[in-house]
Amino acid sequence: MPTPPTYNYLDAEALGRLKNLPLAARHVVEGFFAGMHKSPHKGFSVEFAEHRLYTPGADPRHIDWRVFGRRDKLYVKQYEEETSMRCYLLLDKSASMGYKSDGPLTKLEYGSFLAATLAYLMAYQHDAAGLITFDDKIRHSVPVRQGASGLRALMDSLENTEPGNETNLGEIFHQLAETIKRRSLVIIISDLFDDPDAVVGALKHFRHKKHDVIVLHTLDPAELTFPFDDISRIEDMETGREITSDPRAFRKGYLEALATFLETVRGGCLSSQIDYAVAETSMKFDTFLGTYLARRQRLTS
Amino acid sequence: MEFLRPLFLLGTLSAAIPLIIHLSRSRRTKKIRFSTTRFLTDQFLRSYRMSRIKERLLLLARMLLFALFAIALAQPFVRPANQPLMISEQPRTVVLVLDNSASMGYIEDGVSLFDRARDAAIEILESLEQGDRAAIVMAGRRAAGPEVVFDEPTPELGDVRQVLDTVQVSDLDTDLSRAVARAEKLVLADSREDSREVYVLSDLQDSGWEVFDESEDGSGSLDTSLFFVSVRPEQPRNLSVTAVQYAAARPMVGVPFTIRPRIHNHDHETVSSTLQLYVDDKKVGERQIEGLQPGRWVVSRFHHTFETGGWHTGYVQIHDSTLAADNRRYFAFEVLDAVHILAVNGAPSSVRRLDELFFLQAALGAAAAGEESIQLDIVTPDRLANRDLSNYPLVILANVESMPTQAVTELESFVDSGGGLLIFLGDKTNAAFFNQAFSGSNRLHGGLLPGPLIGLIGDPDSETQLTQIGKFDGNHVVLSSFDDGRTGSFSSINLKACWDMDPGDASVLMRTDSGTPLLCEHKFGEGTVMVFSSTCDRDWTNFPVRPAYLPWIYRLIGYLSQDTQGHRNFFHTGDVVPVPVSATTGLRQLLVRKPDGNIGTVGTTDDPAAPLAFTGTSQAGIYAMYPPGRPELSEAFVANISAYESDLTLLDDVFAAAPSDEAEAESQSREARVESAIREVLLPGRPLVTFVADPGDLGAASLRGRSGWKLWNYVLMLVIIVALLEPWIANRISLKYYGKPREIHVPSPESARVNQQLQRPVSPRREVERQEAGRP
Repeated sequence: MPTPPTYNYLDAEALGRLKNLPLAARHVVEGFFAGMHKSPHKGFSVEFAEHRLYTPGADPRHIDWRVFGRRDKLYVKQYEEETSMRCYLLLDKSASMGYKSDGPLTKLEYGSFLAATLAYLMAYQHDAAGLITFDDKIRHSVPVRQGASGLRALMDSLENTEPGNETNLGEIFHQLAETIKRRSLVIIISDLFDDPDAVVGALKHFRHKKHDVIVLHTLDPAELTFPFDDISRIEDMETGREITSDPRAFRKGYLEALATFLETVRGGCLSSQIDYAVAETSMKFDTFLGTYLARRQRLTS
Repeated sequence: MEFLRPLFLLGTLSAAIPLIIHLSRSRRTKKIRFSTTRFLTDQFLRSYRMSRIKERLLLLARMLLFALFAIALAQPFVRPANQPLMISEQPRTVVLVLDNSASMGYIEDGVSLFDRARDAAIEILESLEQGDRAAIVMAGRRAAGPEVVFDEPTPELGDVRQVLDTVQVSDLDTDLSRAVARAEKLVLADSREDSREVYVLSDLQDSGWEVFDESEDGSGSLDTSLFFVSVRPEQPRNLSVTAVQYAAARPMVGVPFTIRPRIHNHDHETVSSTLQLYVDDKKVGERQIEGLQPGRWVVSRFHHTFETGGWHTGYVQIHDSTLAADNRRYFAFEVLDAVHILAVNGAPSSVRRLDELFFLQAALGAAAAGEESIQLDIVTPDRLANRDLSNYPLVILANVESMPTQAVTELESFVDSGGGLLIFLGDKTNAAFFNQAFSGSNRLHGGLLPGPLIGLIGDPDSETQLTQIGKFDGNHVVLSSFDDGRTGSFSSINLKACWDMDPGDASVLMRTDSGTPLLCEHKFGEGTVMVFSSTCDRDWTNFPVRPAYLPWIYRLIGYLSQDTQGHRNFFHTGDVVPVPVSATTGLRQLLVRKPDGNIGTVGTTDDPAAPLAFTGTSQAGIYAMYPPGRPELSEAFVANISAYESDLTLLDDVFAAAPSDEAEAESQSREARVESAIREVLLPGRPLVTFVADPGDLGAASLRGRSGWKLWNYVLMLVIIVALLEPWIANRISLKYYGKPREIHVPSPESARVNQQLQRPVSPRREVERQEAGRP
C-alpha cells in the first residue's frame, strides 16, 4: 500500500491511535470489496451479469443459445462491467454533530475520520468515492471520482467542514435518493437526530432506488447514557431551545425517549436491509471500522 | 382554639425542615449545552410540569406532617360558648371537693352555705350515669391532710350519696389548695380514658388557698376539668371573737385574772353586740360592744378571780347570727392553789440579805398577807435526798455546788414524771460536778442540764458590768408580757458574770447582749427544766432589785409549777395534740372526752418527737384527757377555730377587683376575670378551669366545661393518614420521573443479531440466478 497522503483526518499522529492504518486499510479493503467488484489483481473471474436482446452489430460470440432454445429469440450475455464501485459518503454536519462530551473528538470529527478512511480505502481499490455534506441543506458536494485527485478534493472538503445549522435529514435523503442515478453504495455518517419515521422513510427511498445503504449512526457516549445528575438547564446546540427541569427527571425521560428512537431507527433499517451500526465516539474509529468491516466481510464471503 | 401543652407548638417550626431540604436541592442550576433536546418532548415536559405540581403537593404534605404532629402533641381543644355541644361519650370520673370548714356554716336566708354546697354536690352526683365514678374530698384543714372519704373513685354512687346526705360542716379551718391537689391525684387513680372532673364546692375563702409544694401530692393532669363553684353569701357579714389574751399561763386562786377578748367586725356596717364571759358553764361577766365600725376590731376586758384551784374551763362569746362557729373562744386553765415549792439553798447565810434565797423569798412573799399562794420549803443540798419530791410541783436549785448521787437520781425521776426544775447557777456552782451528774449520755435523757457548762464569763468581784440582757423570746408565755413592757423591762438589768453553757437542743429563752445563753428551757421526760446561768440574788446581777424581777419570777414559777398539759392546752381545730411521754410511764393509754361528749383515744404516731398524740380535734370546744377509769385525773385542753376562718374575704371578690386598665375591665365579665385569675394565679398550667359564680348554673357550666372538642385525637388521625399517603405519592412520582430508565440496546458491530439481519449485498451472479429463476 502506498504511503497515504498527508491530510488532517488521515494524520496518524493527529489521529493518535491510527499507526496501523496502512495495514488496517489493507485488511479493510480486501475484505470489504471482495466479491463486489472486479479486483485489479489477476486470477479473479469475470461474472456474468444479465441478458439483453440481440441487435444487429452485437458480438455473436455472446449469444446465449440456451435461452434461444427456450424462447425462440436471440439474447446475448452481458458481463459485469469491470468498472469501479461508486460510493457516496453522506456526512451530516448539522450543529448537533459538533457535540462532544469528555472524548477528544466531536461527532463530526469522528465521522470525518470514518469518511476519510473509507474514502482512502476505496481510492486504494480504484473505486470511486464522493462526499456530500449537509445540514438542513446540502452544503458541499464532491463528485464521485477515482484516483488521487478525487481523494484530494474529498479530503479538502472534509478538512473544511464545520458544524452548521439544524438537521433536516428526511428531506435531504429523499433529495439525494433522487439525485443519485446509478446504483451506488451510500454510506451515511450521521447522528440521525431528526424525526425517526421520516429518517427511516428516506432511507427506504435509497433502497427503493436499488442503492446499497450503510448507516453508521454516530453518537457520543453522553448521548447514550446521559450521565448528568446535577443538570437542571439544557440548551439545544441546534435550536438554542432551553429547558429547565429536575436532573433526575431529565435523565429518565431522555433515556427512555432515546431508547425508543434507537429502536425505531434500527428496526426501520433492518426491515429495509440497510446495514446499521452505532459508531460510539468513545471507541477508536479504526477499531470500530475494523470490527465492523470484518464482520461484514465474513457475512459476504 | 386552646392548647393543653402550648409549648409543643414550637415543634411546628420543624415543618421548615422539608422546605429547607427542598430548597437546598433546588439550588443546583447547572446548565449545559447538549447536542439535542428533541428527546425531551413537549409531552414529557408537560407531564413533568404536572409532576412538579405533585412534588409541591408532596412537599406541603411533608410540612403538614411535621406541623400536625407538633399540634397534636400540644393537645388542642375547642370550647365553643353558647353553642350546642358535642358531649363526650366517655365515662366520667368525678371528685367532689366539699368545703366543710367552719366558714361554710354561714347562714343566709335560713340556709347554711354548706347545705347549699351539699345540694350542688348532689346535683352533680345525679348527673352521673352507670359506669361513672365519684369520690369525695373534704376541704377542712387537718394536720393529716384533707379527709378523703373514698380511697379511689367508686362506681357505687349510692354510697357517695349517702356520705353527702350525712356529712356535716365542721369547725375546721379551710385547706382548699391541698384538697384540690388531693382531688386531682385521686381523679387519676387509674389509667382509664375517662372524662376527668373535679368540682370544688366552697365559699372560696381567700385564706383557704395557700401555695405549697405540689410534689407532696403530685401535680394533676392537664386534661382534668376543674370547676370552682362559688357557694358564698351575697354580702358577707360577720362579727367574731378572733383572739383572747390571758394575763398568765396559769391563774392563781384568789388572784384577779385578766381575760381580754378581741372582737372583729367583718361586716360592711357598724354593729353592736353583747360580749359574755362564761366560766365553768356560768356566765360571770358581760360587756356591751357599741358602734363597732366595719372592718375594725376592739379589745374588751374581763377580770375573774378563781376561788378554787384545779382545772377551770370557759369561753368568751359574742352574739352574731351569721357565722356562729367563731362567736366563741374557749379556754382551759389549771388554777394554782397555794403552791408548795422546794428550794435547795446552795449558799445559806445567817445574814438575811446575804442569803442566796433572800430576794427569791421576798418576791414570792410579795402577795398580801394571808394570800401567799406560793410557799417555799427550803433545804440544803445535803438534805435533798431525804425529801419526798412528789409533794412538790417544782424544785429550785439556787447556787448549789453539788449534791449526793442519790439526790440527783431522785431529781431525775421527779422531773421525768412531770415535775419542774429551776436551776440558778452562781459562784458555788461546781462545773465538774454538774457536767458529770447533770449532763452526759450516761444520764437519763442526756442529763438534767441541756448541755455541759463551758466556763465562767466575767468577774463576779468586779464592779463593772459585763453585759446586759439582750434578745429574749417574747412568744414564750413566761416572757410574752415583757415584749411590750407592760410588766417591766429587761433594759436596766446588768450582769457582772454568768456561766456559759452549751444549750444543746434546749430552747434559749433569754440571751445576754453578747449572745451567751442566759435562760434555757429543756424538756426532760414529762417535766421541764429551766436553767438561769446567773444568780437569783444580787451577787452577779442587779436583776433581783429591778421591777421586772417579781413578775418574771412569778411567771417562771407559775409556768414550771403547772401541769404537763397546762403550758400547751390551747390548740386550733385540726391540730395534733402531742402527749408528753416519760421514761417511767412510757406510751400510756389515755382517753379524751370531746366537746360533743363522745370519747376518743390517744394514739401513737411516727413522729419520734411526739410518739403519743391525739388527732380528733375537729370540733371547737373543751376536751378532757384522762387515764381510763380515772376521769378525776382529767386534764383539759381546748381547740378553737383559727382566726383566719372568721375572715370572709373571698377569692372571687379579690380576683374580680377592677383592674387598672378600664378597657380590660370592660372587655371581660366578672366571671371571666375570676376564671382567668384562678387559671393564672392559683393553678398555672391548668387550662381546663371553669368558674361557676352561681351554683344554679352548675349543670350548664358542667356541660360547657367538660364538653367541647378535644381535637388531638383527630389531629393524630390526620397525621397517620398523611404519613401513609406520603410514601405512596412520593413513590409514584419517583417511579414515573426518577426511576431507573429502561435499558437501551446499542447495536454494535459485534452484535450477532444485527449481523444476522444484514442481507448480503446483491452480486451480479446472484441477480442473474434470481432473474433466471423468475423467467420462463
